[in-house]
Amino acid sequence: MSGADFRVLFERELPFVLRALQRLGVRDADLPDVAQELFLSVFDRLPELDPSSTPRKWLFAFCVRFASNYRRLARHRATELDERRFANAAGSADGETRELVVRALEALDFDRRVALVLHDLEGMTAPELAALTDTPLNTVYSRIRLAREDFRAEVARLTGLAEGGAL
Amino acid sequence: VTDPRLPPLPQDLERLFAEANEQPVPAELVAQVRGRVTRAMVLRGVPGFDDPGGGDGGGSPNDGGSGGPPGDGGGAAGPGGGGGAGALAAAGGGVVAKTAAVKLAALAATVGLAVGVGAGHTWGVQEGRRSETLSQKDDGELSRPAQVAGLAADAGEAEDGALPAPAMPPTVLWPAERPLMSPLAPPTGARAPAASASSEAALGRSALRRERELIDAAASAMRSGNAQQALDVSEQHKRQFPRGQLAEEREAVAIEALVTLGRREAARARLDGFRRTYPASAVPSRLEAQINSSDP
Repeated sequence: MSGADFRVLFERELPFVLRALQRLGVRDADLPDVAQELFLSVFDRLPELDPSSTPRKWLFAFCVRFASNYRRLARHRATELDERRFANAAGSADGETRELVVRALEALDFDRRVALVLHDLEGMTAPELAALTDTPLNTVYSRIRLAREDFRAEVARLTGLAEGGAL
Repeated sequence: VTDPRLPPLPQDLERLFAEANEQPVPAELVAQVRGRVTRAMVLRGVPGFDDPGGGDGGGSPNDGGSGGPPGDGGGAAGPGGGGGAGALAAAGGGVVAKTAAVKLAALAATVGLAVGVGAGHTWGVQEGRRSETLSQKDDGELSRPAQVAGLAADAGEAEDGALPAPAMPPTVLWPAERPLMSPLAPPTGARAPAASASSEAALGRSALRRERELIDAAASAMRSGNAQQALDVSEQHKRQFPRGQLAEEREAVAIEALVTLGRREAARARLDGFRRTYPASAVPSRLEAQINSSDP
């Protein structure tokens, strides 16, 4: 892949990488930092790009790794989330659903979060996810199921906050 | 995608996910990140990002070119990677380069490193003045305390994927008004008597010359905006002269390069090692300021 090809890849995939990073827990303020390191790392490892796969799936592996490293730094965990309210679980405008999803994902254990984001939101298959995370397939299925339960409960909690006004 | 081994995605979640996927990441955020990453790529010399004026619609030429704020804030500039990089390259060739030789000369004089570096060495525009300065010191002062132990261990770079930092405003690589290194008192107790006559001194000079060439190359790479190359050369120096006489300069260049590359954690770790090794140096406060000003 030439430098120009890499730039095309970068331009095309950047929004997807950012979205995945957000969903995996990287805050907006830190996205430039993380994305910068990520793409520099991607460039260094271009020779490992498997032509039989799609670049995006390959990039998701970077997203998981970088989001995981990001979370390991305590200073990111210390940030308080504002308990913002969500009017509805869906049907709202201006990116509110997108924010609700990101917000609800915060409640998930990281492995489950990865499973839900990449499988249910980004459309990877369970076997692909198993390979990407180096996890047994059965574990992946289990994580997806549990993640959905956790996620649904959190959405209910967040939107319930908005409706009832009481915790 | 249906998977027989999974229950189907419940409809409410399916709707929610579909809608979330239709709501794009805000364009201004994408543009901001694109500008930042593009600049980092240019600095790093990544192929495909070496066309400063081109790229995706071209940012404002003022974006990041003039020592102002890093430019990310000016998100209105849109996808502004390429243009800023062009301005950076231009600035790097101008003021910064012109003053660097003076500063290095001043540094060499103050730190007492000025042995045998003048001969056959090209310093560009300030060659004459520098040689003059150096000649006063050319008396075989070779044995700067080798106090760099520990730096190598401390300088561990961030592991792959560690967190990273905003790009620096590109033009502050070598601020003109400050000397590159601290005006440390020369280690007077360590002056080698009549060293110029001894073969040991000759060896030392030769080693110092090689060190100087590496450090110059690293500094030159920084000036031309190639922080990765600067870092690579400084690593080469570290391998060859882990306790070299110019180790302090090397560390300063390496830390600046890490900051410029956005590797804030690595820069910080290395700065800590620098502090322990050179407690009297004034350099860390400047580097610290750079690292901090790169904080989000």
